[in-house]
Amino acid sequence: MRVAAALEVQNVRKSFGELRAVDGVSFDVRPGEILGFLGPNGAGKTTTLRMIMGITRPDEGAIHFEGRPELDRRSVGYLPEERGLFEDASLLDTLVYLGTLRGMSRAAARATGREWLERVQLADHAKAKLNTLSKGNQQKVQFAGAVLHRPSLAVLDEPFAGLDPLNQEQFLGFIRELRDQGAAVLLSAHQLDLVERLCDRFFLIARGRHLLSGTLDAIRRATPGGEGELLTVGLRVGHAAAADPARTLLGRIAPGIAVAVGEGANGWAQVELALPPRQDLSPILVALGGQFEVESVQMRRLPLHEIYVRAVRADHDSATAEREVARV
Amino acid sequence: MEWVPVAIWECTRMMKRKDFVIATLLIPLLMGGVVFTIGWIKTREARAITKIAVVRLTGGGDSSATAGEISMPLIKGFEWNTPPAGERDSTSLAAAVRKGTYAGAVVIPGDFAEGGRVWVTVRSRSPEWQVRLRDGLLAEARRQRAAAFGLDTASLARLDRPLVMSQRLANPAVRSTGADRVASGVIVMLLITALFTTNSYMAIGISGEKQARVTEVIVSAIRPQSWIDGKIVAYTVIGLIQFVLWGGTLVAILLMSGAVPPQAIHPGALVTDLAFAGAGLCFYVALWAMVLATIKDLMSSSKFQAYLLFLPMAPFAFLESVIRSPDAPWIVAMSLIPLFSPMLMPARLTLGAAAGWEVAVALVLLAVAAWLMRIAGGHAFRIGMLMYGKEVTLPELWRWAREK
Repeated sequence: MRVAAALEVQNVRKSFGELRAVDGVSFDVRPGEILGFLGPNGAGKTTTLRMIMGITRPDEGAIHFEGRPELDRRSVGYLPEERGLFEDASLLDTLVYLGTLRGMSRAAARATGREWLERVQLADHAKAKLNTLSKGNQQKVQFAGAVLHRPSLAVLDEPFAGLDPLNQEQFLGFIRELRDQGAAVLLSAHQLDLVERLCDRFFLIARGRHLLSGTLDAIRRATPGGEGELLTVGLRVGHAAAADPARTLLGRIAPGIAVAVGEGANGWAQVELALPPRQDLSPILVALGGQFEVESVQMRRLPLHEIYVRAVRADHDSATAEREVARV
Repeated sequence: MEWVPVAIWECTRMMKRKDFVIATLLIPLLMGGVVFTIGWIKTREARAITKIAVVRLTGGGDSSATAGEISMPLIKGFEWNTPPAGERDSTSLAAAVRKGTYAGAVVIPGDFAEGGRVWVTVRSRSPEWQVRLRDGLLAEARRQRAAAFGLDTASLARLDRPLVMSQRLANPAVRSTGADRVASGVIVMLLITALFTTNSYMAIGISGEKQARVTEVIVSAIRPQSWIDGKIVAYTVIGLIQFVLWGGTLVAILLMSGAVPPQAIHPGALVTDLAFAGAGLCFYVALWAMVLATIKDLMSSSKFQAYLLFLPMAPFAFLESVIRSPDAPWIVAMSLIPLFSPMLMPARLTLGAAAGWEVAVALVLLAVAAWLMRIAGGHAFRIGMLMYGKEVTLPELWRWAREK
């Protein structure tokens, strides 16, 4: 039997005056799953999240929670992008308040609040005021306040903003733990390397519309050239000197393959080739090795970052073309 | 019951504010301090003995008369002194008064009971004891005149028996004594002070929450209506605590000072005052919460927002008329309108003859208005708290209040 989606967004639309912020977006998040909700600035992500949380209402479409149209606020955890807490209240009092708002008893909220402060290394600051903490530590308290009550659906808008790499790693652990406990997690973030490591599925929007969705493999398949691999060859020669000869050489050896020559470490050239599946590497490496001193060779599948950039760029180009047509 | 944690949170935060606790306790302390100081001054005056130099002239009050020993009636608070011989002329007496040896000097001619002029030398014009001195001397003069007519003390007392006169009010419900008028004014002022104190703290709280951007965090957890309900309950309770504390102090002072006899305190009137205070606070707190949600910071409020915030001051404009004629038809009408009834109806209850149905209608209208204001506040609060930067107009606020 198919498990009911914890969250199901169906063909949702929202406009502000003339601006259509969200245009027919549909997706779902299942229990025990992390969905990466991605898109460039102004794509309509935060508007969609606000509609999910009942802060604004969709003009059209429907949003269901475990099959029901009503949002049970007590079973949802929300870390908004526009976030803040009571600056003159102590950390523990703030967590107790947020817990009781979500239906916890004061005693349970206090005990869980203390646990969370321990986990984020702020136990010694339980009585400190929020405005005495660094931005990163404030972020930890915000996160604890959003998930203190063990929500079955967690909506996290930019949870990594303002965190150093160590704290980002800690947050990755917290979010995975939520998923492992059976929560459905809807995550919006711009740190695509972290998102790629964390999420089970992805949903990419731009200009309020769906661009790509599915698992990483699925969206790779949907991206032109995404099924292949990226070959990066570092050359021990200056970038300017190598750019044209390398392009000419590879154009002859491997016609039809996209080649980019960029600047790598120490100003040396770095050649990047988007290879189709099962491409024979030998002639490429032999040719490059014959003409340049090869410093490094790296093969990898198309990362989320690249998929994102290609998809959003293509959408941007298409939008520009649409505008040109409309103007003419 | 989503509003309960909000109400507890708001109340706890207020009780932890030192400035709020000081402001709340300061008024009873001031009231107590003022009454204590006035009482202390009066007691001190009552206990003070005024030293007066008395020179009694034998014969008429002209310059040919000679100064003699005194025989003065006992008057409470006065001590009669006979200046030494040689210091009984007007120049010496003035010098002694200037020096402070005596509070004053009085020269009494032998025929003072028959119209002879009594001269009083004073340091400054019309001291407060002069009236008491005159009354004392007049009593003595009357006694001497009565004796001259051959009247005994009993006959004189009979002549002086005071007239018995009482008032009968055309409308027995009216109890407009001076103390009632003062009490009405003070109760209205206390309620308005409680309103502005609690609402000012609510303003600081709401604008702080808006600036700290906690809105989305809270409205993701509870409905905006529950959020504003919790605030309304908390600030109404806080306002009522202040009103009861301050009003209770006033009543205690009035009773302890003897200004008002215990039977003048009507429990029914106190309960009615409390009901109007509670419903009035509720109404105005909801109105303020709605308006405050539209203000990013308190310095940037526009004209219409300032007018709405200062609406509770409006009854001050009618207070004097209410005190002078509490049952005038237009005052009766105003006291039924929810904007004014929390202040005007308790004042009319003390000063006028508000009928039971008027009180009931005013209370029901106020309760209904408070309920509607709470709902409208909830609608506008949701939108207002998420609005940043743009200045809100009155038509927009009206539209938000009706939006579901």
